[in-house]
Amino acid sequence: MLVNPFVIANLLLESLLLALAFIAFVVSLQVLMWWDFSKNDTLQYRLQKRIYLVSTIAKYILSLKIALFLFFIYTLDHLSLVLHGAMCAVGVVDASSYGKPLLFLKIINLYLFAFWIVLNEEDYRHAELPYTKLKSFLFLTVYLLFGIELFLEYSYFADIDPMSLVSCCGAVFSKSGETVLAALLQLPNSLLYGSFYALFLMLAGAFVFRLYAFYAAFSALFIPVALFTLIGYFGTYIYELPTHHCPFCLLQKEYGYIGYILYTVLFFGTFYGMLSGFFRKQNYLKRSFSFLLIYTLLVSFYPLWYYMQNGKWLY
Amino acid sequence: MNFYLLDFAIASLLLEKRKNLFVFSMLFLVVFLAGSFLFTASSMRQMTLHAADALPEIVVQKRVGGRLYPISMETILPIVEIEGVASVTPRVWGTYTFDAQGTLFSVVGVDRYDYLYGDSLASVRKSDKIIQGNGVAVGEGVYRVLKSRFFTKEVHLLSPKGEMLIMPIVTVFPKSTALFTNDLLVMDVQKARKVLGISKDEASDLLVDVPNPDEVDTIAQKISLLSPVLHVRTKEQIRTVYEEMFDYRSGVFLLLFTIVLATLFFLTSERLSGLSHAQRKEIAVLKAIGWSIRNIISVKFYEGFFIASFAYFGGVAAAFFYVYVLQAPLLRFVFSGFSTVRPPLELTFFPDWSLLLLLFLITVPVYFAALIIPAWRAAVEDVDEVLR
Repeated sequence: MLVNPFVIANLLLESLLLALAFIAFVVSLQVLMWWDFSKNDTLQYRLQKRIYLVSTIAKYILSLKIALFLFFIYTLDHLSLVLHGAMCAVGVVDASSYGKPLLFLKIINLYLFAFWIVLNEEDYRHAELPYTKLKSFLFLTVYLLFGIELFLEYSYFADIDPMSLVSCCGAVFSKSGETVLAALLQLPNSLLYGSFYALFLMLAGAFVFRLYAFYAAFSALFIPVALFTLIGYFGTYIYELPTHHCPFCLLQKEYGYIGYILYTVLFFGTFYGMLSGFFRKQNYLKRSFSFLLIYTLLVSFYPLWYYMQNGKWLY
Repeated sequence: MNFYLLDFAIASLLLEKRKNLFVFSMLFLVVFLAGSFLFTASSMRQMTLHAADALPEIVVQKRVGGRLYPISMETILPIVEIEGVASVTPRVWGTYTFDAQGTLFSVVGVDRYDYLYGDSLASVRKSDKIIQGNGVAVGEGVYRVLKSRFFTKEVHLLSPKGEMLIMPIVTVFPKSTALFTNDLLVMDVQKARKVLGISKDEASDLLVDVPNPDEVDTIAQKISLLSPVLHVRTKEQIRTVYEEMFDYRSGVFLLLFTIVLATLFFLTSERLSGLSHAQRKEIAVLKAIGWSIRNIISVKFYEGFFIASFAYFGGVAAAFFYVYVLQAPLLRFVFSGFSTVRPPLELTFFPDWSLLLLLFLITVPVYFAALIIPAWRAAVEDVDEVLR
């Protein structure tokens, strides 16, 4: 077990949030069972009041969870100072078998919570609250996933042995080896950035012609493609080192904490993109596209800057 | 952000001065408490790590069954022969129990041609004087203890063989180096051997100088393969141990601090949930003129936002003042411990912004969590019942 102020703070806050979410969970359950907008009885009246509590709690949780996610990543980065062999957060994630599922679940929960908030806002725009049952059902799911996340997080931090050796990102994200990742990294670079820009062009096309369903599908696809090209191609220009394939070192001071900006922009861009498929609103489409445009400009800046300074490409 | 609501929130805060002042001071106190602890810990950690920079790359000791033994000079040869090692310096040092109360001094032997570990000692390189004059240079803290026993000119030390060694005090180290020199007794290496009972062909430990930091780990491994009794530690390992030690202390503190946070939660929640008749009437009027439930919840959050930001920044400022200006009276002993010749540490300001984030995250969200239910309760109050 790691007794570290950052770890304790993470666990403490997540537990607090889960305890609060429990109240919202119970109310959501009641709504699912008894909600009927056409009725005029005391129960329905009470439920309509209680639903405000759920939305307040959910908003509070989401705003904290975004901050907490960044804080969690920062904690992993900080732990790399303590664990032997870790140079960045990769080694820390790998220090326990719970690490990867935890990180994955955290990202999914972030998207779900954000979706819930938007659904809630949409719900209040209509007088007859059409999404209330849907959002209550969604909250139950989110609550369960959140519970699993907290359980994983406890197990993860309890499982890390501060004395054991972990691997550095150079070993995890290397081109050699039998893993799927290694195989993907061996693809030619032109294919990597080619697919990235091709997908971005398709997104732009869907944006211009307002093809909501296509746009949503492309932005969902954009997440893995963007992450992968970041590891395989764009990241190497940020590090100015052709062999450095790591999604976590970006978060360190040496690279101006650029990773935090990149991942935040990517999150909002893809989130609003998928949302536009659900609600078919221009507003979301515009927001999504501007975020994704910023992301693309940011990652494209590094290779160009490198070329301008050195007069040749890295490869 | 709605500025009309904000304006309203400030006005409504001022209406309930006593209640809000209570909540404010609670949060302020909690931020201050946690802040002073974390800042002190961070400052101590930074200083220790800074001091660790002066350590040699590799230290080799002889350890059998967990006990330390003097290391034979013959060990130097195979170590020097390892590629990448620039030099190996034998050190003669140890602790000397001065009196019955267990006051400990660190005895360090110096040679005229020694590589003195760290520039801090090199600056007080009075070794010529020490060696020729047969004297001893003492640290500030040691001198204070000696003076209280009326030894102002010379030191009397008892060797393990029962011999009494009397050495004149040549110099006292300046206060600016106290962090490293406070408990030191520096003397000629031959005298130090006598005081510590180390024979001529032995040393306390060996310092290995490796100019290329990338080679340190491999060389450390090669040295430990030479003999099972050799205990090798690198600078990086020592730094990690320090890092872990301070992290552990702060972690345990935070675990205990959870109780304080729980108290904060319940007290705040309790205080805020009792609505006065005037307040209920006010909310009822607001709703009657068309405010929605969400508007009222927002106002409550704006109020909370004000209290939280003032309490947080006030608490941080107070903690800064307590730790860096007042030098954390009482609290520092949690970290440094009590000892007669403990170095007089000066807590210097190392800005560690992540700590401010940590402090924010463990205090302010707890306050807001306590706010949610009272705010909602107030907002869904039935209008007609109150106004009737």
